[in-house]
Parts: sequence; C-alpha cells; structure tokens
Amino acid sequence: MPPEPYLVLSAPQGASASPVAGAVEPRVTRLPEKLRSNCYLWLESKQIGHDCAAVVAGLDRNFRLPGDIRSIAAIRMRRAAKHQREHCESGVGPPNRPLLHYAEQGDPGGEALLFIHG
Amino acid sequence: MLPLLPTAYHAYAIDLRGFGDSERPADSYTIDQFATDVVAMDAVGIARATLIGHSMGTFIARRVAQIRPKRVARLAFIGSSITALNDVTLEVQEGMRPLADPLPLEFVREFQASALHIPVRESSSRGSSTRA
Repeated sequence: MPPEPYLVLSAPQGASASPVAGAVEPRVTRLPEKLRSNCYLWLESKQIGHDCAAVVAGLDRNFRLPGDIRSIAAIRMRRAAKHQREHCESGVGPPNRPLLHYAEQGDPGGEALLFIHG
Repeated sequence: MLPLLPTAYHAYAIDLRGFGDSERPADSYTIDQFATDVVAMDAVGIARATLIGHSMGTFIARRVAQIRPKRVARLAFIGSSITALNDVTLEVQEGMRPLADPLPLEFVREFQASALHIPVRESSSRGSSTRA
C-alpha cells in the first residue's frame, strides 16, 4: 500500500519556492506564460523520523477533492494541512519530506495529461 | 511538448525526485518509489489521467497503472521497450559504472541527445559538470 501523503504548495511570488532548508532553489525558467511552474508536493520518504501528519491533500487553490470535503478523511487532511502550513510559514519543512516539483498548464477542468520524463 | 498542447488539456509535468527542481533525497530511486511519487499527484485533484512516459518514465507509468489502474485513463510511451533489461540499457549501465558524481556535462548531453529525435541546441550556460 503506497503512502498517502501530501501537501500541495505554491511558491509565493518573489520568494524561495522551497520551504525546506537546504532545498534546491528554483531555477529561472523561460517557460511559456501559460505554464505554471511553481508547484510543489511534499513526498513521503523511506527516511524515518519525521513527526508530521502523513496524510495531507491540498491547501489553498489546490484543495479540491470532489465530493468528500465533508468526510472525516477530508477533515483529517485539512487538519494535517494546517499543521504542515505552520512548518512552511516557519520556513522549516517537515523533516525528511522531499519536495516534488511539477509544472502545469491548461484548463483545470480539462482532461488530465501527466508527463513522466526519462 | 507542453507549449504545443491545446489548452483544453490540463497538463502536468513533474520533476521526479533527484531531477530538475525537485529535491534529491538520499534514498529511494526505484521504479516503485518514482511511481509512488507520481501517485502523489492525486493530491492536486486528478481523478484520472493519461500518463505520457518517456524512456524511464514509461516504466514508471506502467507501474502506476499497476498500482492505481482506475486512475489511469490511457498510457502513451515514447522511447520505451518491453523490458528495462535490454542491450541498450545494459551498455549504458556499463558505461556509467566508472563515473563519479558529478557526472561530466559532456556525458550528460551526449546521453540525452541520443534519446531525442531532433538535434539538441548548445547550452547557453555551459558548465563543466552536472550532478546526477
């Protein structure tokens, strides 16, 4: 059973995109304007020792799990999200939780295409 | 490829762990872990997605389809093979074995160029090496 983490983060304008100390700084890109590239996910790591809630899905604009907003699971995730938001605002990420960067573009309601590089 | 897509699609392009702007944890660079990382994209609210994999990404996409079949609408592979253990990958592994981190930039460019259909332009910011 794969772990079910994750917090969706959007890097603030003009700020370092990664709240994790020592993380890779975002590069300056020449992406087309329609490509939104400042998106990050916390990932689970096999490294142990972190004490943050493991199940988080979505903050701010990315919190859109259709149909289950009122479910217990969603409430748990929102609580966990708040916990991790505190980490982010303090500038210190959850220990041993790597960030996954992704870019996105297009209609949020459109058919999803997910590109996986080699 | 993304600039060429109609905006009617909602396209996501991830940097796998250890690549691009994603972080580089010390562990878990396996197809299983990469696939789990891709599944993490559930968090952005993707109900089902077409997975488009390139090279190693094709094996990751297959694994995602195995562990989350209902979340995968279609699979599209670019530069794939039936198995990752073939003459080409074995030769690459043999060639990489003596290399140390950071890898020589020339090796990286040559390797990537070999996997592309069109010539690669010279980089405007040339360095001497890059990290694996």
